[in-house]
Amino acid sequence: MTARTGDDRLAEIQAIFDGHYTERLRTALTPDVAASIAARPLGPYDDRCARVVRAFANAPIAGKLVILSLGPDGPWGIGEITIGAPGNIVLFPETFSTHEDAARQIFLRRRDAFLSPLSDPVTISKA
Amino acid sequence: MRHDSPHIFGYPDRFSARPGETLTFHVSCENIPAYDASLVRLRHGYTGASGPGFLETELPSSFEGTLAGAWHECRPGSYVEIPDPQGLLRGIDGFRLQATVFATLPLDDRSSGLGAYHVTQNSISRDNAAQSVMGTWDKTTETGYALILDGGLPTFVWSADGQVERLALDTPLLPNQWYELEVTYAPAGDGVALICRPRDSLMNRLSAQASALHVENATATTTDSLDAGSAPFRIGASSASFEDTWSAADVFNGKIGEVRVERTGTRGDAATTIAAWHFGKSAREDGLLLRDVLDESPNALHGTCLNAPTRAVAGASFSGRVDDFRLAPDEYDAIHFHDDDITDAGWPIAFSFVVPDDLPSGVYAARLRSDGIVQHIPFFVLPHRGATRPVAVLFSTATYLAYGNDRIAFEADGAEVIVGHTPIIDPEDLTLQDHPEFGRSCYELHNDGSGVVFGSVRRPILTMQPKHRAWFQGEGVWGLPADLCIAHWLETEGIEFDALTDQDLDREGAGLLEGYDVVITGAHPEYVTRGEIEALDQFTAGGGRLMYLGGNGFFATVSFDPEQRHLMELRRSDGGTRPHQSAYGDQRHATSGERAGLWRNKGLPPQRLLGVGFVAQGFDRGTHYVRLQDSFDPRVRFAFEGIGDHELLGDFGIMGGGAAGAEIDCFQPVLGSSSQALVLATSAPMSDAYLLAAEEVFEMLPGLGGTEQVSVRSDIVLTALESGGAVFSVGSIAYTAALSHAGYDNNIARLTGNVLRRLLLPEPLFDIAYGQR
Repeated sequence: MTARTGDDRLAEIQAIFDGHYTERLRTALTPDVAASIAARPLGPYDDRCARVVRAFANAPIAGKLVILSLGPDGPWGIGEITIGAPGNIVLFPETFSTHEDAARQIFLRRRDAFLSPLSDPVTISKA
Repeated sequence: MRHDSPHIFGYPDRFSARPGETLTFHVSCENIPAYDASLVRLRHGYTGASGPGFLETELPSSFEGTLAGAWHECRPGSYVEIPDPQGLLRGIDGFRLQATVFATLPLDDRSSGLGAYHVTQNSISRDNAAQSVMGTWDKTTETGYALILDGGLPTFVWSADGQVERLALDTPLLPNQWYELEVTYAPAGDGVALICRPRDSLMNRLSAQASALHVENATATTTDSLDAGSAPFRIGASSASFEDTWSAADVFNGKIGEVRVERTGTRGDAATTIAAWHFGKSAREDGLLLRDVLDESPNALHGTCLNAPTRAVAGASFSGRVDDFRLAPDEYDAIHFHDDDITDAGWPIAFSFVVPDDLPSGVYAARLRSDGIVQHIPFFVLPHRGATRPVAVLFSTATYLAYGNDRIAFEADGAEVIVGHTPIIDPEDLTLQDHPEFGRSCYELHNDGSGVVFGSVRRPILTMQPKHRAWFQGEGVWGLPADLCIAHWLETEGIEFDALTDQDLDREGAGLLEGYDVVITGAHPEYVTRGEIEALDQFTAGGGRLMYLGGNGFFATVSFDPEQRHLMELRRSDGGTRPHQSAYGDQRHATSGERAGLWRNKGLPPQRLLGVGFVAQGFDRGTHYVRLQDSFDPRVRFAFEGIGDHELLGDFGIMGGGAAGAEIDCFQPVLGSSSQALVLATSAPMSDAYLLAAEEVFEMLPGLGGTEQVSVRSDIVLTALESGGAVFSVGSIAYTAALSHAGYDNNIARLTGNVLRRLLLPEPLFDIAYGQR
């Protein structure tokens, strides 16, 4: 049997937390909340929306979506933080005329990924 | 790291110079055979349509013209190099190497979730399989000798008869534990012995009982022909030949101390000391631990620190009873090395510039261009001594260095949540990601998880490009681009100014401010030295007028190396808002002796000087100010001329859409805001993305956001002083980014201009009542 490390033990605890956290987030991410965030992706948010936005914002940085400024007044693109790619980012093809639209697209992608039956709780909650 | 795409990078030898002084510029080109260099005056940075756009004026200069481009290596990694002209460390038959080591990354298993922002990945790739403690090892030719960690295993490696020999122990070192390592090498078949003893220390992560470590040793036979090689003797790194220099290789991550080299001689002879370095002692009278490393042996093999390893750190003997290295040097016999330290790229001089006598003080840059590629190397020209204009702008160069080459958005889980919006990445940030060798900001963690504590001018700082926008401020201006908003506003007001920097004020003190009627700060003078605070206090006490046009100002301690003007130190203490925290015992600046931390925790809260102090930060949006009762006081009617009684002040701006935002300060009498100060305006409510600063929270409470905390606000305050001096403070980083709105025809520009013109008049603003609370 391989000796367990302190990191292994913390990971076990993290996984338990992630289960609870994800369950609560699924409850919080109602269609109303999602619609409200999508309508105002730059906020401000009420307490219900803020919980969801915080959860997504706290997700692990690896693979996280960010906005890229493509000009002095736009357009804006979105990309995924990917260590090893040029600029450590993989850009998506679509562009947006406002960074609010880019932020909305990021939220919608995060929502869809979270609600996907294949989603991994650890990819949503904070590592 | 060299890439296929064309780039030009560069840096000056320092940030500022007076007429008659010489600046040198150091340039590296990637895939660019030649570039055009010219002198420009930087007038405005932000490129968006909501401001005046990027503005620069080209000027004739001695260096203008086309220059050949050449690529130069930028090799991170800190170490100590020992000049050894007599070859005492090279021509020794039998020797003993001794050191204590505290490896912080013996294996590639850095913890995650580190620091305030929860760093969980590293954008700077590394190969730390081999880490050199000391020796003459030449990685290129595989000659010399060195005591190293190889995959975390204490190992002695040497070359003999053209072969690489090695002797290793079986157990990798635990991270963050002190050990004693000793190698005894005897030629002529007498053997080599390597021993590792765990060292009990207060600084160990694990107690002796919990770690259950024990002494380990190994031996091997030797030949009689150890080849000491031609590389220099180094502590904390080995060498690799590159062009005509020796690059750093196999850089150690962690602390090394108590380093000795002895000649063991022939059997039965007493050992003699060749070198005994004491990293806690200084040859300077003030005891500061700077670049020079002291050898206490008769051979005086003094060393030199390269790329600023961290000194004044607790060694294996640290007792925990004294936290000042100058008072207990034996407890500070250690240096912390990092494989990603980079404080001097060491590029050759591309061109020099003797500042002409007739070049007015201001913000300038060497502009380098080639086929659509443009790079600016900003610098500041000070005025002639004694020939000052009425107004000086103190550019926040310490803060520029602190934030220089920020990579947080690519490494930290918490980057997004702390700023309250999805990061917006500037293309220059992607270039920075492709160049990890340019190093990190002081907000980040080294590869080994310890905090970055040095900022330096002598490396390309891409976040100081005048058009750069910070990821955390919704594409807003930050640092130099933000302060160019002040420069251009003064230009539109027709008010000439002298440019000063933090380094200059720290070095010259209050004398630098003599002759000025008004000194204006930058938008974010977060980091200052004690000398700067004292100089400004003396300035206002002598009748000078100060305009603090920023937020989060005069917040935390930095120091400048008195021997290396380009080097700034910024450690983090254990209280208040901070991105990381130095270990206990490591919280005092080696370059000044100052305890790290917030000035409010060291008897100098900014509220005393400015009337306001930092209270909250948030980056989702800015807001406006509303006028308060004091703004209608007849004594300050001048400030609001042309502004309506009910106007919202600054409900616009290129940083978050409002003049009040980003990092904000409020009026706090309990921390030294004068009760006679006039609080002219306060911000509208902030969002819950603005959270009360950690130093305001003595115990955790729910509801720390702007919608629930009255303290989460920005106040505009005017303080008249008995000396006739005065301080006008706006308490918001976003404030100056609102100046240019509507072509400078707005109430923020009007208010600021009204105040400046009044402060330039010699008459006192108004009398203050004696002893009034």
